[in-house]
Amino acid sequence: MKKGALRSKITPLSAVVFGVLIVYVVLLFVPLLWALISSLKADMDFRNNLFGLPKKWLFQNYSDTFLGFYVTVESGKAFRNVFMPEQFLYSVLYAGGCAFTATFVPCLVGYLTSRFKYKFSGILTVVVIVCLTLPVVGSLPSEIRMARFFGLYDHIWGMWIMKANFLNMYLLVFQAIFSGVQGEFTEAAKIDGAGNTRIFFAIMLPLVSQTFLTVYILNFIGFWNDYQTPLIFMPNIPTVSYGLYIFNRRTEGQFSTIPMKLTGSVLVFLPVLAVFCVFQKRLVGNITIGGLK
Amino acid sequence: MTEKKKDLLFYIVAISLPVLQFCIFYIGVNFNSLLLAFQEYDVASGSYRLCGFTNLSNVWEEFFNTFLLKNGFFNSLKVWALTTVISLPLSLLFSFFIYKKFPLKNFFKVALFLPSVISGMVTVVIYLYFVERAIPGMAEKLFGYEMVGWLGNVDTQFGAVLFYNIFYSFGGYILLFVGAMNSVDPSVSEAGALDGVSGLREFWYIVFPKVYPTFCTFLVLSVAGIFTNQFSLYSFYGIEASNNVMTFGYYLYAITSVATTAEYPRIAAIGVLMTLFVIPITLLVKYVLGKIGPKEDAV
Amino acid sequence: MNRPFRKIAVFTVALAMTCPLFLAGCMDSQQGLEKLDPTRTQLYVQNYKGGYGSDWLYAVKVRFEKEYADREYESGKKGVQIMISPAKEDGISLINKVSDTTNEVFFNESVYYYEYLKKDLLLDITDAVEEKMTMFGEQESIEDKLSEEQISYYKVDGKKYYGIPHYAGYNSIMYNVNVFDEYCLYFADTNDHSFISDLSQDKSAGPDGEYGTSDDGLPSTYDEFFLLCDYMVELGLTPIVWPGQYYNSYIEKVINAFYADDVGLDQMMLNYTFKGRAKNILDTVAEDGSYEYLYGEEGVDITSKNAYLLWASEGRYNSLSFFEKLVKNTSYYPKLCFSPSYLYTDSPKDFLESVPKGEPICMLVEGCWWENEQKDVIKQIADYYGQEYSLENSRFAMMPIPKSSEEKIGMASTIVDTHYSLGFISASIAPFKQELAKEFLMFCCTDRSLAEFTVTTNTVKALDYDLTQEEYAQLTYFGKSVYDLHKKSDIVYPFSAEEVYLGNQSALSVHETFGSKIGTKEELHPIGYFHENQANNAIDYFNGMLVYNMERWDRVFGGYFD
Repeated sequence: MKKGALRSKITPLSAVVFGVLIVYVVLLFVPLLWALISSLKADMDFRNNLFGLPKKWLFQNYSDTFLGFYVTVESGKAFRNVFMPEQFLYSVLYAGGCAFTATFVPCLVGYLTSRFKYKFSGILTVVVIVCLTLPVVGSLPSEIRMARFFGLYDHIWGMWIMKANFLNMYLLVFQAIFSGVQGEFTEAAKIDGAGNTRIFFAIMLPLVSQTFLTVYILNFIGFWNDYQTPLIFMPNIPTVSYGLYIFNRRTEGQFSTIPMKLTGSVLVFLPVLAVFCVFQKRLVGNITIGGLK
Repeated sequence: MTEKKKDLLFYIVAISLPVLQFCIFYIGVNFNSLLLAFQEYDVASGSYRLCGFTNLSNVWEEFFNTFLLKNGFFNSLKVWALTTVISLPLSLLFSFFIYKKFPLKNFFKVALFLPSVISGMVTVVIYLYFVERAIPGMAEKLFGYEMVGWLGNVDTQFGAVLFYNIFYSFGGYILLFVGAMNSVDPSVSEAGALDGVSGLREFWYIVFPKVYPTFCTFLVLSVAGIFTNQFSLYSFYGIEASNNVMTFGYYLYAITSVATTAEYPRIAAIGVLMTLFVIPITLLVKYVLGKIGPKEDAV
Repeated sequence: MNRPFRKIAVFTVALAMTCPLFLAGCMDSQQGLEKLDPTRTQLYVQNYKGGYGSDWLYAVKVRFEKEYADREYESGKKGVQIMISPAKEDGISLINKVSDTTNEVFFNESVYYYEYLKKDLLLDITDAVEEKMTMFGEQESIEDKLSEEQISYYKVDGKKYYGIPHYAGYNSIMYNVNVFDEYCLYFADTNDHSFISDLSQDKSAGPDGEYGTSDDGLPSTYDEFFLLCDYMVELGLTPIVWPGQYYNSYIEKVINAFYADDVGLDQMMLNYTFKGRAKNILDTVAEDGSYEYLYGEEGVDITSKNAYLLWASEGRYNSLSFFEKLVKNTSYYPKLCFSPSYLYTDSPKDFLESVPKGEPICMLVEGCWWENEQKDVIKQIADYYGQEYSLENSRFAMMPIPKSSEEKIGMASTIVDTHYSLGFISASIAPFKQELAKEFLMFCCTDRSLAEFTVTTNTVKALDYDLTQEEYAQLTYFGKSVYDLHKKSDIVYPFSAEEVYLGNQSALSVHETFGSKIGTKEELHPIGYFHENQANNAIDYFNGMLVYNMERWDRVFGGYFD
């Protein structure tokens, strides 16, 4: 059957939702547009002309910011500046890797705890919920100590390992999904002689692949925007969010102005937006097709 | 080897690495922090020593005798109730709209997801300047009305922060909800449509049961996070958010950010006390939601 | 590979491949950075590059490297290269990283000295602090340049030094002298608190009570300050501005400064030492503002057990009342002063730009480093509006704090250093560099270096030193006013080696000591409280401060004196 057959008639409720969504879109894009326009103003212009068009369109703000958007790090025994392109590379490696481990591990543990009804599975679920509710205080020094002890400090791969935990909401998501998978799948595979490892990788993982991808994307975005972990644990490998944090804190000269801060924000956001637009059909589109049947 | 033993072996092997990671990077890292709730600082030696439940009983007393903790407690509940009551149903509604392929659904899908792509640092900067500078500037220019920005105005700041939190929260919900809704067999939906089942009935009997597990997960997690959610307050107000908006999670975060070693025990005790309160509630909510869920075959 | 996983891989690889394409640009990763000189021994120095900048350190570097050009610390190397780290990290976040960086010598602020000490992060520098700096042609040691209060804090257990004070940070009210002159915003030397109408008229003696000094004509009392504000409003001027983001902490530091100036050094230090006789402790203030002294003329002995009584000090009440009045009159300041979007970089900028824009703002709530921090902005404004607004042609000054009553006019000025700045050497420095690092620290504290710091930054170091006339002449107008005030005031260094203080350094820091309990509600910040509602007043807030502190005292600090 064609998907289009599901297209609904317009009802009063859908008209209201449509209206609400239109308002949402306006409220979303107006500030973005305002930020974009303001980022092209001179500081004096911005201060005297808050929401009009720039008196002079300063595209130079972008080139200045691009060149000024660097983090100085220790490199061997000297220092060097890490500019935005390199920061993007680190962001991709950091977010890509961490998102994978932070998705795979909850998926695996979700599978194990929902399919194997050992007491330990129940305990683990409760432990996760308890940990999620527990605000931990002042653990940063010991976390840094631990990272250093295992040689993970200041390495991207180190962060992949540190983030490979199941202590997040996605464990519960995967548990819920694996619980919904009917037992016949595994039984049939077992009759065919498949081992547990094969069942997980060849049958179960593909079954939840859409959710896996969704969670991966959500994690990827979360790690892409995370500046605190790189700032603390990879001081010499600045990601672009780390760069933005440093840029926003700059108080000297031309970069301390609101238009420049907005320029920095837009500059960081634009490539992400471009990638999002290019891949949106694949990313957002695909995960809406199928799912678990 | 029997099937059961094979299962057990696989289970042990597969779970051991994640559990080891958990033991090192959660328990190993945080155990000392939790222990702080039962310790006090000795200035002379510069070390902690056990003090039993003194910190907890002090904090317990503080909770009932001071406004700050109570205020944070009730603000957290208020924020949780409002965001949950508004965000979750709206997300469900939007997801259903997208699932039903109403006009511009792809555009809305992208628009709703877009804020999740943008860094919180960026959205905070843009929202802050827009609300505090652009809107008052516009009001003054267009209507000659002098107004104070909503985030700075004590009467409106709660609403302004709440709005920010809700407005930028839909992405993740919708992605997972729409994914779950798409797992509805089109023929079931089609059959319903032929039988003249209304949109609302379709939602309730066909679609909602499919998203129910995801819905429950979000709800349980939001309950679990009631007292750790800092409501993006730190991004807007640093450590100076007013009593009007201060949530418990924010209060803990703010005092931790300036605390010295000697001051951690009290903060840790506050955290532990809140956890003791919220764990049973979370487990209860999880249990109740598991019992009362809609049945897929009710149509 | 399964489709979604392939997608993940494609997505990641595509992103990773597009990034290096950007690298085609010709960005120089060494731009503005010093190259490592393999023929010399490097000493790594981190300086918190905030309001005071790093120019002073670069100046020291040049002289030090020259002086040490022939020294040998490693085989095959001759001379020293000072490598200045550009990291901007204050003491609170630095504490977790000290031993991770290559940096060896640190100049930083917000450093909780004893906290660092307990973590074994600091090198023993006693010899460097106590030794006379004859090697640099001086007869004094660093210790000779410290006050008694500083020695008792920095010299741990009266025996060893692990750090020394760095710069001094005074928060107060700044004013634009050019605007004051142009609009004749000075009190005349009459008894009716009138203003002069032209600059040749005699001005009042000002808060120091002496004629012919730089504070002549400035408000002598709180009342005069508000008369001045009203007069400014009448003239169409905006009296004052402060940052809307973190307005509480900005103003609270000044409330504290007013409190200190009102009660004087000895009384103020009780807040940190918890030892001595407190005077002017008030009973509850009545609704009409009248009050009585709780312990009469005699006062009361303060110990760590009853130190909460200090929150009932008359000086606190006076300063709170002053700021209640200031905050409640919305015609005194721009409406952005309570907006979180109005940053600490915005308010000085508005203060500076208001004059060329023809809408002058006369005063600014800031710290003594603000002019140095705004040097670039001042230059931009001069380039845009004209050179009459350049740094050379500008005249700003730190306003001496007015007195709470006429009887106090002429009393010594007291100022508070709120920065907890520290110069120290990392304990993990290589042994062969320890002497070098100590000598560098000493070098930074020679009279010449201290003067150079002041001339470069137009601020002061938290040490006792004098400028020559020639050096003094090189200061900006503002720098002179900071230096003068520093020299003639009693200085409160808000710390002590008292156990209760050390165990609760953050809870007893300026920002955390403004809590109050009004009725059943706690408030942490008076300014937010006054701003929230016109009915909220300093009387209730002040009365509530004693209640709040009495209630928390045993609970929070009880462990130290039970």
